[in-house]
Amino acid sequence: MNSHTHAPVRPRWHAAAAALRHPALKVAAPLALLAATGVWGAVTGDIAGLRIASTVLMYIALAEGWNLLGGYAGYLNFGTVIFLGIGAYTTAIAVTGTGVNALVTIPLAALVAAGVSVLIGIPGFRLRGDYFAVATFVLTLAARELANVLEITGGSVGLFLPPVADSLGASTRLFFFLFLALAAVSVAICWVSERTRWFSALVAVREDEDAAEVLGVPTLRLKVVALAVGAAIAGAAGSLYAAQSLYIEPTGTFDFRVSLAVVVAVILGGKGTWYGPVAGAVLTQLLATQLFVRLQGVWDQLIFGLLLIAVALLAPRGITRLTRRARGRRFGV
Amino acid sequence: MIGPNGSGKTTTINLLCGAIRPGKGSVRLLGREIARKPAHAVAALGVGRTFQNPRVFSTLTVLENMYVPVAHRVSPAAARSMAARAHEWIELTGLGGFAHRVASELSGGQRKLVEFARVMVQRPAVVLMDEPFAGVHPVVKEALYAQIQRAAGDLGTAFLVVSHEVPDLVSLSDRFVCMAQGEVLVEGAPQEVCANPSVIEAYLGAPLEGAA
Ligand SMILES: Nc1ncnc2c1ncn2[C@@H]1O[C@H](COP(=O)(O)OP(=O)(O)O)[C@@H](O)[C@H]1O
Ligand SMILES: [Mg+2]
Repeated sequence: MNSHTHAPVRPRWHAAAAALRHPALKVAAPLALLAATGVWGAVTGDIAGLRIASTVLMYIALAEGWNLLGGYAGYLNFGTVIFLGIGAYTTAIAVTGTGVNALVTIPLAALVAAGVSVLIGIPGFRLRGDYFAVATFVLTLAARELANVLEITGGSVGLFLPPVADSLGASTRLFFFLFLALAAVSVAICWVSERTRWFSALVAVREDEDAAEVLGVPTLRLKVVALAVGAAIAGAAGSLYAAQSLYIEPTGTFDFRVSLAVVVAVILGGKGTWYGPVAGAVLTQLLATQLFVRLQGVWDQLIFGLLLIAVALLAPRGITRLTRRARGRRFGV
Repeated sequence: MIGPNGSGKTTTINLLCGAIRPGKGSVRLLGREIARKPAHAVAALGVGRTFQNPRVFSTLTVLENMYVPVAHRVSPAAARSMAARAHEWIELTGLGGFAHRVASELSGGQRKLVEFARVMVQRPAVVLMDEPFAGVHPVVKEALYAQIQRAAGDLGTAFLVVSHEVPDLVSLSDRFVCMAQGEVLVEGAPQEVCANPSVIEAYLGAPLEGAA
């Protein structure tokens, strides 16, 4: 898989330029910023800072989970929040029903979200392209309505959860580290995926699904697995979200803007790479939380729109891949 | 398999590999009905193919292209022997220096060779090849003929080759099928098919030199 094993000797500035393009470096800067925020918050007890960092970490996890199907296999999925919401409700229902600690329910939430994604995926992947994207959007609305009318979800009133930590400070610190762990796991999943033969098959689905199928790739199974792993990550994130918020209700939980923010983060950062979603999530969420609190209302959406257009024109493959070169192409190779 | 353009050669290959379903009739592999199976299941039973217009995955490297058909077979032993075969076939098809190049950088002829190597790496029981030699350098073409004969002899692989290189195929093939207007026109020993007046009329235009 290593595409530059026989790079020739090149001038020193080329080597420097190549080093600057190394993926690790592209995520190092945003991660350093994030770590600094976290450490600063933990040391000084800055709760607001820690919460922002937690949100960013949650979006890193969601974006990496989305990337498996959306980035590698090329299926535009506007349904991330469905699985986040299912995870949140799974935890809330389990906690209110049995009284267990919310943190115990994280694996269950991931499992239920993945299970539902399989049930959606098997018929849903009969749809391709635009139709699949639209279906995921419609399903989000359906999920919210379902949470609104069902008794087990508490209807439009929602569900309350008991706190898992003694104080707000302790809770904020705890969830910062839990979101950090989830983000690390999901980045690792993408990093590892790119180094397996599964990756070739996922990309083959993106480039020419019919040819991949005829060549022997079980395309349906592959897409379902990619969707399910992403859904499990989103389900776990939803579980943490519910356990931290202590209160969930349909409109705020199944908020379509979350799905949209995930898609925008991955596209801005560079889809189909393990590092793109990290950079994209940090950029968009820091912008969203830092800048847009001061520009409430239409302005934040407008600025996001303009940002997206600017990236589409100036760096169509994402901010982590500013050059137009295809993957594997290097100086002199 | 020979026949004029539009006579149904590619359509036949599409039917045999499960890419399309027959309106009526059946497709059998060793007595087993496969016409209703999904294409990847037909491939898993040992039917491999190449495409007339190469369908390589352009952002993947040549080596990664080899891995696509077997990506889901994750047994480490199988993976190792497959990786070894992938490197072997990249060398055999003369793509040695290109293993780590992304396919979008290859020429049309090289993409044909990637297709050839990719199907051979899988070691299918049946290989369907749709005009594999079109646009391929004559010397490389001779090498591919030798590889087909070797695989047929050593592994017992069955090849169905669509090609317009009729004189070369006569010595390479056990059997000829000539298609015309969506149907089998004539089928039989290569020399006989090429000498058949209706094949000459529908496809060859003139009798082959040196044919019986
Ligand atoms: N037996 C058949 N039944 C239905 N359509 C056919 C049949 N044979 C050929 N065709 C149609 O004719 C067209 C050309 O066939 P194709 O298989 O691509 O020809 P070839 O590969 O021999 O040049 C295709 O669009 C195909 O749908
Ligand atoms: Mg054809």
